[in-house]
Amino acid sequence: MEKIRNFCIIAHIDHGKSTLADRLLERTGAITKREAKAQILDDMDLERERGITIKSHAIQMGYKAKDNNLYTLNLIDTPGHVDFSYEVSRSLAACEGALLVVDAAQGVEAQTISNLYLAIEAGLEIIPVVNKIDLPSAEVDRIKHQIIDLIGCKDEDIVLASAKANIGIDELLERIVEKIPPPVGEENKPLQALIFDSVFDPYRGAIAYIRIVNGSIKEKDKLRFFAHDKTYEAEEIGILGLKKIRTGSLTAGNVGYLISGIKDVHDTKVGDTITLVKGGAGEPLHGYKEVKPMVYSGLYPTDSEEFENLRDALEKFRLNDSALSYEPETSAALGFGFRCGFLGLLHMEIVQERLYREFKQSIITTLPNVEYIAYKRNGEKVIVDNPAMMPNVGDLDYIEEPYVKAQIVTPAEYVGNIMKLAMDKRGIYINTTYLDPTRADLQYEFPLSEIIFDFYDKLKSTTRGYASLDYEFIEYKESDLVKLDILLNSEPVDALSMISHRTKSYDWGRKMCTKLKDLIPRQMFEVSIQAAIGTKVISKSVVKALRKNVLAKCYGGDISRKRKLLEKQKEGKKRMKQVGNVEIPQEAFLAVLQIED
Amino acid sequence: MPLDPLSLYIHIPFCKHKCIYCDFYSLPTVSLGKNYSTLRSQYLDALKTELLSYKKNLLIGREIKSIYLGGGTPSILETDEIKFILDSVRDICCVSSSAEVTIETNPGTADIEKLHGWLKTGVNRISIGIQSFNDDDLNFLSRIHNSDEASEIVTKAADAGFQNISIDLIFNLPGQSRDKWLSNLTKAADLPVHHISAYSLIVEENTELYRMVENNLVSIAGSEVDSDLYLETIRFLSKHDFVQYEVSNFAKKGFECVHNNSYWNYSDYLGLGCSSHSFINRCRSWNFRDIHNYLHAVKDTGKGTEGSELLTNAQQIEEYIMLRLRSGILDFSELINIFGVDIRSSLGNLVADFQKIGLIQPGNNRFTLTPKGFSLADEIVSRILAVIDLT
Repeated sequence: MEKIRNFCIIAHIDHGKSTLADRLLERTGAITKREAKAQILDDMDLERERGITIKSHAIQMGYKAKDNNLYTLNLIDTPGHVDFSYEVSRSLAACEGALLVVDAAQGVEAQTISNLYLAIEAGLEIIPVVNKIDLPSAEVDRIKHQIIDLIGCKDEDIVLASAKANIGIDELLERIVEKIPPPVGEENKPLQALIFDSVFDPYRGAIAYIRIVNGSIKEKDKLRFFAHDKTYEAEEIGILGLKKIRTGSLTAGNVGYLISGIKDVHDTKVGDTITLVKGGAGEPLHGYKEVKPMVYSGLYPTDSEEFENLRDALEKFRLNDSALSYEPETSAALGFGFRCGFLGLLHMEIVQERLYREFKQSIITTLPNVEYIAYKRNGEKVIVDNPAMMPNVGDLDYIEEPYVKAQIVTPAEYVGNIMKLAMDKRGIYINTTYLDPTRADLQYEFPLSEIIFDFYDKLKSTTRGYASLDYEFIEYKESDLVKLDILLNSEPVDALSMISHRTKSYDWGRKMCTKLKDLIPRQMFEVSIQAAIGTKVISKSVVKALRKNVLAKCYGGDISRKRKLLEKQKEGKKRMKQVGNVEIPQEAFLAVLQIED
Repeated sequence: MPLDPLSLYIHIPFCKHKCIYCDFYSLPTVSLGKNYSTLRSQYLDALKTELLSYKKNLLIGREIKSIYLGGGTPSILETDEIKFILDSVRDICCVSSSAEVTIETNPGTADIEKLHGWLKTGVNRISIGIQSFNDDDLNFLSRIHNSDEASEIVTKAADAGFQNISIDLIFNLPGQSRDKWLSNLTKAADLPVHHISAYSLIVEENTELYRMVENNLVSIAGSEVDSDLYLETIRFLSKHDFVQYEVSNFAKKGFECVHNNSYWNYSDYLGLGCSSHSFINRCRSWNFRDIHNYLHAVKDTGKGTEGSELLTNAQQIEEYIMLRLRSGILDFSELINIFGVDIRSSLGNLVADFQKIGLIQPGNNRFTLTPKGFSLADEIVSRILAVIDLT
């Protein structure tokens, strides 16, 4: 155990985490250059495209240090997005040290800071690394100062590196061996293994990535999981090289995988503790929590006959993603679909895109919303994760919405822009600290609902891409919220309802009416579009009746051409969704997602 | 049981000049220069060859109920050429003694002599491309005739002995007010005209007009004006005893065009010549559009066919609904009799909805279109097709 080092890399997107990881693997011989392709750790296409790691993995390397000892290094990868901060915390819990990687040109970002704090809280030894020092735009001294201000280290503690140009890698490996403490834990104690990640394999079922904290585990052991009552037998145990390497057992301090015939990842929940059925530990490890969705949205098949296929796809999807929740729901406008819960908007986009790419499911999503709590006059409390569930205005006492604490790190020159944006988004200002004279760290409280829409895009555009954002849930607070309905010829379109702050509802209603007027085609009768709160109409527009739709001439017997035109019109109509007698094109449902607030 | 009679369409792809709005296949004779006469005689021979190729199977025991010389400009041909065509048809086919024989005529290419000559060759119906009785409109459309020639040709045709005269008119021309259009219709009603095709101007791709509109040189009024003019047309013509029997076609009683009705009534027709279309035994086929490709095909195979599609049962039903509704009527029992399908249950509230907004008049097992319904006929058809399940 003295020769084991467990560590992770904390870095902002694009600051070079994956390249650095590749370099470490190459130098220790865990992979060859050819295998390194690009960025081994991100093995889902989607992740590679977006440059973010969604699912964390781990990899083991053997490193012969200058002291002539052979060390086992376990690099545990962490997800880099704010939607997945709980998963990050569990990965951190499996480590004793962390490399803090900062881009020599970009400097410290919000995400880096929040993950850094998580690492410090978890008691990890931090090794600061300034990466990309070979860039012409590198400002090594300035970035070093930022880091020193941030963690109070010494100048000489900082490793200067360029993963791309292969600079500083040896020094870094030595530093890992030297600085990061070996794991503490006792092999003789009852087994406590932390699940820091799990993935689904269609042939093997759920594969848990585990860190043995105390005790040891071997194949054929009967296992108990603290998060549920089921027991499983360990089928296969090993360590993680570039591929799985079966070892049959793992002992305290080490990191590896466990396969035990578990059919989906819901029984291998991240953060759960595994012990033995016989002679097991009495207590789980500290820090497990059930991951709860933050954002909800309706998912409907564009073709209503695809409902069962969508259900199958979601079911398969969930085997691999314990954070996704879904329940069937029905919409008068969109038919049968599912109300799905996501960790955040990015998670939602990823699910949507993977459903499309991997399961060929084309879907309409409704406006995402957070989970509100409505208190009725009769004292009843209603959890509202769908605007349709909001009680009538007459029955309502008050509504609470979730608030988050947000951290925005920005070049100082954009502080004014951000404060204006924060005001538009109902932000409550808390504090500003300066990381150095040019870089500010702003702290705010926001209603989560304001953050989930276009906040991140707006933040990026108002700071020319320089600011970064991180947030976490704090509490529910009372708010002046209203349910805004959209009515077409007096029929409410449930899939277009939304919950909004009263002060913003008028503007939203007006934009919806304008947008829908452009998107709803003229029909055989006039279509009136209304935005309403309760019975009060706050905005309206009209799509005039279609006056003429007939081809004057049916060419000299060329009926095929005419039929093809009509078939097109027919197919167009089939794709429309019907509310009352009004036909709504699918684009209308999608376009409301793009309305800017 | 005798086979159903057949209609015959013959395309004449020559014009003095290509009008800006026309996308039918035709060649301006000026552009052909010296080759025109050779090409013309090759073409006429090819028509005969093509017809002969159908003699053995298709034409046996089948009476021809109508012959339609369309174009292009059939009236550009010499009278003996028309005679050659019609004589060939009579030689090869069994033409009914009461067959309707129509020639499309451009006022700029017809004179008294030709009119008399046509009658002698057996032509008994003349369809004149007047388009407008107004010089501004005719200039805009780049027609080769003027307003005086337009009305003269109608009178001359009647004087020559034509007892079945049809004219084409176009509305929703740029700057065409309601009154200006009504004066066209009034003029038509005052002349010895038995049949009127009143079309709303269509801007077809690959026409000069399309380019003009794209480049903002011309602007065409939107569907409000178009619809108003259309409803005005229906109202005016019905007041003057012209019965609407198709979206754009109006006739005095008994003067409905036999040939055009073949299209709407789902009966068979054979097309000869380049770019023509045929519908025979539920199979749609089309000839090469380009005259040279057509001539080659006839030389090689005896036929000018470029392609064909055999309609599925579902396609037939869809076409039938579409074509019958162009004639303003949908009879559910016809669908049951011909195709064995009853679509009423799958229509749900649709028919009631149509009625509520005044598009149709329900009847016994059927409904008919109101003028407003004619104006939205394609909308009605596509809504019906979208809800009925024919698979």
